[in-house]
This record gives sequence, C-alpha cells and structure tokens, in this order.
Amino acid sequence: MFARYFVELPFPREPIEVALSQEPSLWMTHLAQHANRRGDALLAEVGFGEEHRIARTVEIEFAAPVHAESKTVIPFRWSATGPGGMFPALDADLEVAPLGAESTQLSISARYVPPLGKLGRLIDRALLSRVAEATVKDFLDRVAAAVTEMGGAASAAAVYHPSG
Amino acid sequence: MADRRGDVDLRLIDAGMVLASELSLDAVLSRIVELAVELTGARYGALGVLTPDGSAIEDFITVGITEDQRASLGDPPTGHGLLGALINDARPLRVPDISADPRSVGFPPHHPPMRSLLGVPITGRGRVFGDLYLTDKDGGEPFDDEDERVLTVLASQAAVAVENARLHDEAERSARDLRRLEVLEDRERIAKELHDGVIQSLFAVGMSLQGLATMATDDETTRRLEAAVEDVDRAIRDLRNYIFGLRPGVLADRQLDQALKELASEFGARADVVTVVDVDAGVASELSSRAADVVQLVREALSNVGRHAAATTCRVSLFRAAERAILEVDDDGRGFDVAASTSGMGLDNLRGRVGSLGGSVAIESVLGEGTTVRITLPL
Repeated sequence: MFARYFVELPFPREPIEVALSQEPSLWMTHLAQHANRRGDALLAEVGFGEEHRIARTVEIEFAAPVHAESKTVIPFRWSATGPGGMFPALDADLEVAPLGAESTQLSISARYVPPLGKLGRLIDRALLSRVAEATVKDFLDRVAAAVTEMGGAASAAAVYHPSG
Repeated sequence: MADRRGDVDLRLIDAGMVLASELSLDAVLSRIVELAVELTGARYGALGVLTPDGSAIEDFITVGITEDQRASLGDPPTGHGLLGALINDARPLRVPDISADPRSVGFPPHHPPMRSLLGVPITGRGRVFGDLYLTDKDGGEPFDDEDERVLTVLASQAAVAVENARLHDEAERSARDLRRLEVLEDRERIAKELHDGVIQSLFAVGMSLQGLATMATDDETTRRLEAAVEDVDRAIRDLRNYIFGLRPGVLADRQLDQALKELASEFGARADVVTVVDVDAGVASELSSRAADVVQLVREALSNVGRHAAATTCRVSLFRAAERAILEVDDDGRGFDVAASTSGMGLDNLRGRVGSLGGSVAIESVLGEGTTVRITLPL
C-alpha cells in the first residue's frame, strides 16, 4: 500500500539538507524522547494523536542520502520492535526538493504492507490505511518541526498541505 | 676479439629492442634473465627484485633451474651471502669461486652446484630496482671483463624496460579505474533518473489504483485492483533495490530470500556445516514486512545448531502450508531431549520472538539423528 504526504517549509533547500545530513540520532531526538540507538538502527516512537496519542516504538534504519539536482532522497525503513499490532512495517523515501529560491518541499513517499496478513488487507481500507497515513503525517510533521528548529528558522512557521 | 664484441653489441641492440617491445612487467623481468644468459653463455641466471626500501629480495626469477629443482629448494633467497653483498654494495660483482669467497653462506640442500658468479645491479631513477645474477659460464671459465660490460649494458637497458613496463601497468590500472568510475557514474545517473522519473510515476499509478480499490463496489474488481497495487509495489521495490543496492550500507528493502541465503552461507562457512537454503520466493515476499524478524529467527536457530548440534549438514526452508508460512531449520546433529531442554539452549528467545509475531514453534529432535525447528507464521 502507498502513502504520501508533504509539507512546505519557507526556507531554501540547503539549510534543510544540512540539518538532515547530520547523524539521524541528532534530529531524531526531536521526534521522540525515547530515541535511542540499537546496533545500526535507531529506536524511536512513531504514532499519531495529541491528547490521546497512539504510538509504538519502532526500529528505524536510514540509508545514505542520494543527492540529485532536483532533490535529495533519504531512504529509510521502520519496523515495530515487538508485536507489530496495527503498525505496519514501512519503506519510505524522505525527499527534500526546492520550490523556488525561498521555499522547500519536504515529503515522504511510503510503501507499507498492512499488518495481520490477509485479515490486515481486508481491514486496511477501513482502518489500517488511516493508521499508516496518520503515522506518516505525524512523522513528517515532527521532522519538519525539528528541521525548522535546527535551521534556526523557528519564526518561519511551516505551512502544511496534506496531499491526501 | 673485435668481431666478438661487435657481434655481442649487435645482440645487445637486439636485446634492447626486444625489451622495449615488452609491456608487461612480469614478461620483461623474465626476458631480461633469458637475454642475460644468452648473451654471456651462462648456465644459470636470476633476477632478484628488491623490496621498496632496497634491503632484501622480494621476488626471484630464475633461468636454468627446472620447476622441480626450484620446488625442492624451498623458499627463494631473500638476500644473504653473496646475493646480499651485491644488495649492500650496488656495483658489479665477479666471483670466480663462490664456495671460496668468505661472504658466501653456502647453498641450501638440493641446490645445483655453482662455481663462478657475475652480478650487476639494475638501477633506474636513482634507485636499485633489483640485481642480475649469472653463474657458471659455458666451458667452466670465470666471467671476464667483457661479460661484465655486456651485463652492465643489459642492466641499463633492463632498467628502462622495467620503468616502461611499470608506467604501462600504472596507465592500464588508471584506465581500468577510470572505466570503473565511468560505469559507476553512469549507474548513479541512471539510478537518479529512475528515482526521479519511473518510481515517481509508478507511485502515482499505485496511489490511483489504491484509491480506485477503495471506491470499487464489487469484490472481483477490488481484488484485481489490489493485485495491481501489489504488482506496482513490487516493481517499485525492485527499482529501489537496484538504486540503493549500489550504495554500501543500505539496508532498505533488502529481499528476505537473499538475506536468508547470505545468512546461511555465512553460517556454513563459520561453523563448517554444509547449509542449504530452500526458499519459496512468494512466501518470502509476503513476509517482507517482517523480514528483519524472520532473519533473526533463522539466525537464532542456526546459532543453536552451531553451538549444540555438532551437525554436518543443515537446511533452512521457507514454504507455504495451509495459507501459513512454515520456516524450518533442520540438522543432522546429535539431537536432544526436547522435554528436558533448558532455557540455556536458546529456545526461549526463539519462542518469545515467534510469539510476538503471532506464530508458533514446534521442535522435533531424535537423539543421534538431528533436530527440526518448525516455525509457523501467519501470512
């Protein structure tokens, strides 16, 4: 299954890439208080919701960024550290693409396999796809917030555009 | 005398041309020794290539000694005795009777008898590259001034030829590196274009089909659309594997069947247990979201085989049965009493991990015949 989400950040591509080019554990700490290392992977919390947050600890692996003229892509994957429950394993690309000189699009294109096998596929349309989409959106929002803070551009509030 | 010298000089010119025509360093070195023997009428010839610091011999090329003789001599010389004398004092060395020279350290067992010696250094770019040694001139006479002159001239030609060959080798290496770099750059460019273009398009198609599937009102259409989504997903996965597989350290979307084969191969080599892998690629694909867990399960099971089983063969199988994935690790080791097994045998971890995946573990073991660990996972 597929999920895509993006945000626009009102500053150039370069400071965002600089922030994201740092060791992921540095900017992952902005995503989850429990971010930690386990071997080559990071343990972090992903989920959605503010007041009644539904979240899981996942193991995230980041690959080396791929730099192209039009964008930079950081491949990553996450998988639940314990019983998967409703949280799918996910393979995704975090992309940084300029939108002119002063704004940049930060996006995630994710693919996931609905958990719980065939049963999961049956209920995916009703529920699990929303869980995946909400989790991806939450994750990217937090990345954007972290990047904004790290880029010293906290005053430049991000303008969010859910892509559906 | 003048005729002999003129004849030898002509042969030296020929020798120089022969050497100049050789571009491979190994071929040049062999040819130098052959020419030295031919030009002087020596029975044996050798070229000792010196280490970069010029203190010892690192390669020793011979003429006149058979393969069997060379094998019976053991390790090649490194530069003691008279060979070392030429290394330490890079000037022509003539010895009429080797055994009578105080610098001689004698010959190793099985070494053919040799009496007279002529040696000259091969010098290029201000450093000694190696030394040419000749022994036992035809007729039993000692080497004379003319032999020394000929060998010295040949050595100077050899130095140029060696330098040429080295430059040629370096140029070839550089050209190979350049070609490799060009291929890598080309693959990198293609990978970026694939990611920018093809994957983006496939992703858009996949999302559209996914959206249509949610709107479809009959089951058959939904099923077909979902199958198409899975096909698109598989195509994207393969492309990502290709793109990111070029880069070291990338783990994203690694295929489970490949990971299991690598794991088994690594275990087989480390534990000296012949390990075969039989994986149903379709089942592996369906388990891709749990690939890390499946790999860890197999790792733990193989670890148990390595530590406890004393097996000679082992098999890792992944197949489908009753719409479930069956992961089996079986060995032909000593077996054990399952009922009496303790947590120290590594089974608790296995059971815990399988339980977290919603699966079950069954262990069958027969003393003296082997053990089968069968893990059933939901698909």
